[in-house]
Amino acid sequence: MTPAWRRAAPVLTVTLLLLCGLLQILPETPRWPAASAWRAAGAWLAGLWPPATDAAFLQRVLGATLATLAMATLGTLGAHLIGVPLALLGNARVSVSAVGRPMAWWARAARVALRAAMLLLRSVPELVWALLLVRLVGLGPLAGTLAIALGGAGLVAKVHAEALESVPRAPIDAALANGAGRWQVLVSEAVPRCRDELLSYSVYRWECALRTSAVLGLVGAGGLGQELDLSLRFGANDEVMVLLTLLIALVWLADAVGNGLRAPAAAHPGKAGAGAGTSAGAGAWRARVIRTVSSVLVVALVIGSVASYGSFEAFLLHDPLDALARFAADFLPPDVPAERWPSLWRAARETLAMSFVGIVLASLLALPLALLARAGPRRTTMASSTVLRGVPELIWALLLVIVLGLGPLTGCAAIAIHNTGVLVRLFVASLDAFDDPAGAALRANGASRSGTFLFATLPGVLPRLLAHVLYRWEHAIRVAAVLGVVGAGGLGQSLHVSLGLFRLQEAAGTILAMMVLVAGVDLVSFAVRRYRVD
Amino acid sequence: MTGPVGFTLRDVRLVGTARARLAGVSLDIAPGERVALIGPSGAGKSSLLAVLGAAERPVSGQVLIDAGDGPRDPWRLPAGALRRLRARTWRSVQAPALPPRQRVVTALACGLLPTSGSLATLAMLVRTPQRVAIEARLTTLGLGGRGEERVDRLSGGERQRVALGAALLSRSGALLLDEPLAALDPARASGVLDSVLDTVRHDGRTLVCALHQHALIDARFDRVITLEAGRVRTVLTAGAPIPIEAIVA
Repeated sequence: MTPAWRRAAPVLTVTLLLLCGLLQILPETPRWPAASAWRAAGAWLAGLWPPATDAAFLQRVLGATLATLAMATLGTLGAHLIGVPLALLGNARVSVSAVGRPMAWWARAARVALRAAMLLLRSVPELVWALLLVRLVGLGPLAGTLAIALGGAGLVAKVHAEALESVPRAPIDAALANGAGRWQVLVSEAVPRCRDELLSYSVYRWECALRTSAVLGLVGAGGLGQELDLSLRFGANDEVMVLLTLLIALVWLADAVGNGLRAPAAAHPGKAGAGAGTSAGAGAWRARVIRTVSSVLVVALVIGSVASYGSFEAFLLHDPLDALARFAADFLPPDVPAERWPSLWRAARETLAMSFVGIVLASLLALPLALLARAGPRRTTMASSTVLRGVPELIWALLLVIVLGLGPLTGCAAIAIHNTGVLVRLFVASLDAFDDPAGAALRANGASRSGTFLFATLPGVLPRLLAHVLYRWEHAIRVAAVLGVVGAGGLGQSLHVSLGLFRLQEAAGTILAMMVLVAGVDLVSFAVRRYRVD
Repeated sequence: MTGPVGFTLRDVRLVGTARARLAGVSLDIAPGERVALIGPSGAGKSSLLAVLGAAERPVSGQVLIDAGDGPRDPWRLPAGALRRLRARTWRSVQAPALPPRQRVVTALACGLLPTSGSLATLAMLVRTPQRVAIEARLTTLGLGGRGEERVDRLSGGERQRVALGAALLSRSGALLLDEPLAALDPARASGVLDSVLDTVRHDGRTLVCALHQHALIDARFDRVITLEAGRVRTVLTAGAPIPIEAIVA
């Protein structure tokens, strides 16, 4: 391959895959939305106003909001309790046995085993965990919390492991070669170097958990989602309005708290440039206040969340081991009848296509929006991106079904819309945090804004943007796998049908297919990231 | 608009976090002059180059840059005019900041960015301009045939030569080079300096070059300016021996 072809290859590959994905999705949607569909959507939207205000409903909503917060907070905590130790153990960068020679075979094997455990944990979407756990521990927030903890643990482990491994090699190798121990190096070199990144990710995980906990209710795991499901079913759009607003407000709150916690990183000197001397003191003070308030808020949330639990004892009282055994007997072994193989295969292709096309579209929309946010109307752009990502994909799908009808196009659009919001925020954060000496040098030599961006900033920051996109794709495949629960095509629809008909072994087979698909996307994403970053 | 650029500084002061980086520098550099800048580390060489390139604004004193249309104070110009003025000088920083994964030819072509319009900039994404000139430049810098390599796979000295290549390729009237030979071995340093001096003389550009390799400074430089603690210590005619106390404070 000539160099020119090698450079063009990634773009051509993505374009080709995009076309394949579109060919998979579009034929499933036989017609473009008819006028009646738009009218129905209009009527639906008109029903949103005025919002419901009766006291009984608001009281129920308050309880559901607290339950959602509790599920998200405790679930995130649980995900870290499981995930962080996995990440620390599986870390190759601080391997003592690998200093100056290849890693010992047993250390390598242990790492591979840990990685496999992480992959297994995170290849089951949270909603599927919830579907299963609801059967195990009953309806209510406990199932949701456990689902978030188990579903998040693998992701937390992976991100922590990768962040720790992306720390510059030289200082760590130097410390190890000078006789420092594994934990010493972790604590003194590796963690401080990516502390801000990890903290920021944990906050982001919490934000994700908040959204997830909101949708877990759709399968009976309590919280705002359950209320939303009820209100949507009864066509009580005035209540839907209140619930959606609350959901967006919660995500906005998570964002604000997260920004407060991240403030110390942003307040670091060097970025502000000339004229920052006088305001630096005031800025640091403000950052400290925000940080204190946010920390107190987080602690209060954890305490409040623990207090709002009751169902845990109930589960423990009912002989959990026996319940687990019966549960396993129902689902195992996975078994899909041969005549359903073709439809499973089609559903898997649909799922893959939805996630890929959705994410490519979201990236293409998010980059210009992120640049717009940095160039001018930052507040407006960021606020609209909050609205886009404040509504989870599943809810977007529920709303879009009205216009686009049942099928993968709805799922694809839901993924694209939600992830545009997420990616705008991630892109802006990366661009803000990117120390750009090459760009600064070019600017000082009189290069234009666009020239500097295209030839210094973008090539510098592209690996990070790409990493965000790939992470979102890994997230999107999980979502695409379950979107069918609300009728948006793919494997979720098969799972929903089998569970509804109590064909539990067939459901287990579908879950297995999901896991293979999700793990496959994770591996591809990992390979691309590794190839691009090195 | 081409032609060499001249500079006039009057009592320029620049303040750092701990101490003054420039403590009252007055200096005239005529268009087309070739000036070597020496002095111990921390003497203010990089700061002086930053002020000359209109990259940093002094807290007091006057900077006048003559880019062929009379001496002008860059800090009184509107943004667009300041940018065009900056495009007339090229300052290379000490540790060249090159985006990882960029190809060598692209890194060199970035020297053309300040004087390229929007369309030419976009076209650069698809096709590297001036391939012949770039290859010739790479050859004179001892990097012939390595244009397709990635800059983050080069050694420190090679990266420095790539950054220098971008400077020489730029259509600027003055080169402000900050220790362009720091990471080069002595034999290579001499050859590279020859190539820089030949180019600026051939193109008729001004050269201000901070150096630690005093042995390489010869009559091809018009003047040698020594800095110490943010002040001009001596101004010597090149070719004359450099007194040791001018270098070691």
